[in-house]
Amino acid sequence: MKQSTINVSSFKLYLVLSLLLVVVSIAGLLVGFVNLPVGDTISALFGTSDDEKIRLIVQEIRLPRLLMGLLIGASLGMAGAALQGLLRNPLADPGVIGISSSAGLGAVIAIYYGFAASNYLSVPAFAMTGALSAIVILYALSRRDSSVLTLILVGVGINALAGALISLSMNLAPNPFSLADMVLWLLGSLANRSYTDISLSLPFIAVGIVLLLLSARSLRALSLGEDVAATLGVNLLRTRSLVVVGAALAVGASVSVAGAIGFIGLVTPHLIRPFVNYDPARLMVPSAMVGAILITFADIMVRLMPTDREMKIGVLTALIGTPFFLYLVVKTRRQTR
Amino acid sequence: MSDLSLKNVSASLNGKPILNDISLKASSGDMTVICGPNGAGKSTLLRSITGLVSEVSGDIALGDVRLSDMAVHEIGQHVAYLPQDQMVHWPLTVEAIVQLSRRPHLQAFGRASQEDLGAVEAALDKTGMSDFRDRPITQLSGGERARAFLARLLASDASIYLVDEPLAALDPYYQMAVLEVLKQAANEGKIVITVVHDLSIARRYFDTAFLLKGGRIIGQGKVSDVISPDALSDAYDIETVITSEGGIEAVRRLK
Repeated sequence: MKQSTINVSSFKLYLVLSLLLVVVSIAGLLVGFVNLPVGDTISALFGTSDDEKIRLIVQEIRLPRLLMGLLIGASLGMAGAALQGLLRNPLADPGVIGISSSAGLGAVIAIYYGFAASNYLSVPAFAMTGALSAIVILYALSRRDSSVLTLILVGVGINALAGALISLSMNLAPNPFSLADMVLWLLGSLANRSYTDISLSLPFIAVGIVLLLLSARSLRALSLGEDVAATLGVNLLRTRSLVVVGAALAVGASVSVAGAIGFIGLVTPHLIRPFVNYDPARLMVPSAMVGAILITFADIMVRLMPTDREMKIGVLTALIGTPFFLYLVVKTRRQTR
Repeated sequence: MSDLSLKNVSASLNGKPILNDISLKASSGDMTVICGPNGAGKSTLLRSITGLVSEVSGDIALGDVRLSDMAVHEIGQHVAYLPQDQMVHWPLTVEAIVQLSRRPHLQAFGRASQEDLGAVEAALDKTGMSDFRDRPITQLSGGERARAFLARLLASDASIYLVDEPLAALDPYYQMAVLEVLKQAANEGKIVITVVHDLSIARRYFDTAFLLKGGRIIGQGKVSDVISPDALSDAYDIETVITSEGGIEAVRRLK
């Protein structure tokens, strides 16, 4: 198979990604329902604007939305890179293989059965438990066999189960909220997020990202398979635990505040791999950065779309991500046959 | 230099006994070969030494260091293992793969020391892979890949090399190249244990042989004694003669 590598130094890669991150963040603050001039937006951001309305829009609506997007993009991007490394499979993605929907199931149970009302931490806690269960099942069923087919089939199974259980919990819910609202929420959105949502998810995402980073060097050795990695000094149990728990925290916490935004974790590592010589370890941090860039960019796109009601960001990422996913399936299957 | 010794080693996979009361000794400087029919337990024997088999009993020691008490990732400091059909799941460069062998020695944040870099350099050089260092492993031919994987063994500080059927699917040129790399390692005092199917090659390039059948050792000693028509008829149920042309012996099958 032909693999193209693009030789760039790590420094250049980080420089370009940082610049993109800054540009897309500024754009994220500028774009919205109301058109604000650049100067006003920036002065409002730093609190020097006299116009209270503009200050509110920028500081209380757009800034939290931007920060939330960066946080979730980073966690999905890195979780995707780490899961692909652990499963040695380029098609692993929290959405595709059912981790996000399982986290969604946890969140639905917490919201519909009143746990969320009594304790605000229950939504992320339930979502992370859902994500953790999904990853454990997935890993147990696909670790001996890193074939694409096994992973995808197990993912189909987990997605179907989580979907069915979400419907069941909605059906049986003692206090039926608007089902439409719930379905829309599950599609994923960054609209109307507050600093409370950020402070709720930030600690879990931060811990998750640290755990994933700790696994990075072992993921490189895992390229040679579990047996050889073990003889190279990799503690397999530790590595698995780091990735499984780290991804569960990062994805679970993200889903609990923004719904299941899919495909970011799938697409991101593929964009970066040629720039890091396909090294699963060097992939991690750039994947977090690209995840943040992509999600912020997607969130700008949904605001620019000329639709009556704002399109859900999860819908947009699915519309773009699914063809890419199908392309990858065909390409990977051809290579491994 | 110390020897690798196995005493009364038995091993099972998922409850099914594979190795039965194996005792053997492999000396540094020797080319040791393990032969035997398919399913005799050759790969399991190598994997038992690395600690990868969980259901194993008996003593495995390198000199007076007991390996059987260590976890796999600790044994890895003494043993370098190359499995049959080594997979590489991402198109890593040759250099990145060879560098992986330095993993146990790396400093904080995975930085390589001068010694690490030197070991990688020497290994690439000995296997003739220096010019291929930046090539993705997936773009190499089978023979080039085999040499890249050997370079990974050479760059480690391990004193035992366990190599499982490295010659399968290689043309005669690369078979020789691989054997010469292993021979050189043995000359430098490594304990080299290789599983080989080709009996003529086993006789010609190795010093000591162990013949395995049904999880037991049915012959051990000098290759010329172990790989003999009598022993082969026991092990494989085939009739053979040893022929010699121009001083080169070959095992030829009659029936």
